[in-house]
Amino acid sequence: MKKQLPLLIGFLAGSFAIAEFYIPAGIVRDIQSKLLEFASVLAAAAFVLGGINVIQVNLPIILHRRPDWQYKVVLMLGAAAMLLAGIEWHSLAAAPAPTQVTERPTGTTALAISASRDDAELSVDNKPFVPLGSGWREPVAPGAHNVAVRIPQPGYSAIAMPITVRAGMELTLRVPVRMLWGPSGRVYTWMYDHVFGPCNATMFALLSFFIASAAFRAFRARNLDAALLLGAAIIIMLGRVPIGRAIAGWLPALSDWIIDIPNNAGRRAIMMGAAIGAVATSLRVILGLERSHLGRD
Amino acid sequence: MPALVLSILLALAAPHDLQLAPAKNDDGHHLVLRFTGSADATRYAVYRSVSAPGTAPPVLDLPPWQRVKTLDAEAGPMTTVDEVPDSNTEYSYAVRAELVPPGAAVATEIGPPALVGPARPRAAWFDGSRTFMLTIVLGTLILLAVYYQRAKRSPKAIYVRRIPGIDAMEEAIGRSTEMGRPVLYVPGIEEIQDIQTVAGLVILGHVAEAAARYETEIRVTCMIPLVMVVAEEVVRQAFANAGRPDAHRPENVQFVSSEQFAFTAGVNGIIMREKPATAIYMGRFYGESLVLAEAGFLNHSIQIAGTAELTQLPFFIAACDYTIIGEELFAVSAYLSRDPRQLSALKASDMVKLAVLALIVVGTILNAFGAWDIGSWVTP
Repeated sequence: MKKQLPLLIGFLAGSFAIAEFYIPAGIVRDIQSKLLEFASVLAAAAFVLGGINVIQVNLPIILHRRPDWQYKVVLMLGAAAMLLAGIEWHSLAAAPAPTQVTERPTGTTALAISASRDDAELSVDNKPFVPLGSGWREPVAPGAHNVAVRIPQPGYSAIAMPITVRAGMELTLRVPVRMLWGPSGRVYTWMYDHVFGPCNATMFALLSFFIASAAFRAFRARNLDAALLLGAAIIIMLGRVPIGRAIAGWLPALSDWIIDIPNNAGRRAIMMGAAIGAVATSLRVILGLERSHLGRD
Repeated sequence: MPALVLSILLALAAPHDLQLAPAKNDDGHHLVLRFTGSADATRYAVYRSVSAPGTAPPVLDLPPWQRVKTLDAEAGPMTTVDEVPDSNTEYSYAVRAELVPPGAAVATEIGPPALVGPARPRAAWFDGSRTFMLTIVLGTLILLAVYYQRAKRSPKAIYVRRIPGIDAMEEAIGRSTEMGRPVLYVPGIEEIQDIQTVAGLVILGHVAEAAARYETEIRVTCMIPLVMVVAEEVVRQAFANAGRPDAHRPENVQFVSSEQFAFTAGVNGIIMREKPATAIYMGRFYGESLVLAEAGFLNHSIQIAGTAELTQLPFFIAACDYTIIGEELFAVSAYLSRDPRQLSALKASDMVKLAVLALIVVGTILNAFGAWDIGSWVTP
């Protein structure tokens, strides 16, 4: 039963997934989308397990001062900081104060706007944003106007609202702007943009150096195959840069031919073989022929 | 004023030859509207209603009519597919021509509407455009059954060619044992539903079992938490299969990060600090493939990679000792297990491949002589 039940569930779910691919009728799609929702819930739950795994792996290393435990401290602190910054703390606080709107007769039709922060920016009637500073006051035409107030950096609340100014009246707006928490909040976006982003780009940038070192090894003409590879690589590289055309006008065309014809033929052969292999593997798993993950018979 | 309105309405002719039909191979939420445009129109406004069109000219900008599309005018017959909210309701359509001068935002001339309908969308119970793919799946299934029976009768009758990359796995694990250093296994960076990840996890079972037999530590690093959960179970089962459940250490299956290059940095750190003697990469990889493989090369690890991701194959070939290319990745488990049931699937896929190859050759020849367009049959 321990083996048969997973096989049966796998068979039913897999068969349904195959059938769904060929049956466009709404009810089948509805069931499929429900199953995908289940999968999303499972994946979200697995993230909790992932977090637990990070603690299980790294915490004992820190506690027992095993080699390189300092790196684990940085890891745990980083994970904790992102976790805390990712929680929408502002939603736990009291509801934000609404925009205060007051109207008084001054004889001049005008709009006066201020915000709770001096670094806020203002846009009236979809014009470009300008610094709001300690306040903004301008005469305006009577009627409807669009007002938008924001902080130039991400992670703050922004307000865009239509207002109507009556003739001879001055409308005063006091806009509360507050810092947000959570994935689109100030702290999270700052850490993402200023810490994670540069580190990520650095890792990706390593690729260019690794391509050079790997190419150097791969292009050593040790035998006929490697010599062919080297020759093709030289033609492709020269065909892709202006100096290639200067050396010989036919080099770019030859480079394109190598990519479009022999290279494409090889790519398609691999692709088709992999696709049919994937079909066979899927059937093997769905039909329960592949059961090494369930233990020996 | 009425004369002005009449002149505006009569300046452009109504579209003609309107046809409304359910979309083919549909999930029951689409209607296809075809019509022939009128001269001088620059665009067409398409309106939808849930009521029958009736005989009187409708007021299109009021309910039940609703403007659903604006189409730029094209020469010849025009076709548009509209997604409707309810599959059990009949819908009518009205199309009217509009003339918008260059640089203007609104139409200066509007033609009278042409009406069509009602029609109801129809859900199909078979997507005819996928017949060829179904043929491949059914063909594989039938051949699998045939070769399965044959394999049961004479298990040794199925020949599988040598794949050096797979043969090297056991040797590489043995090297790890001799050097007293761990084996590193990365099952790709894709989600669990990706077939390459599934193949990577199945192979992990064999590698972990060999590592357990050799009493060698195996480190598995995952980028997707769900893959980590499954990998942990696979490794646990593999250690049980090898008769050494006590040697399994759950913390050796590790979730590193769900961010691609944070994961890469984490795995590179493991490679540089723990110095695994063997690094095995099986599954779908992207830009991190060469960064991982070069770190392994600098560490002097024996590296075996397998992927069907075309763009990453050259990187693995350049940086790894052995590379399992494309379809071979899906053959590894059957190759290692030598289980006749699994080998029959290999044989079936080989036969399907042969049939597709024959189809390509015949189709190319026939297509060259203009006798048969294979492309329109495969993807109608």
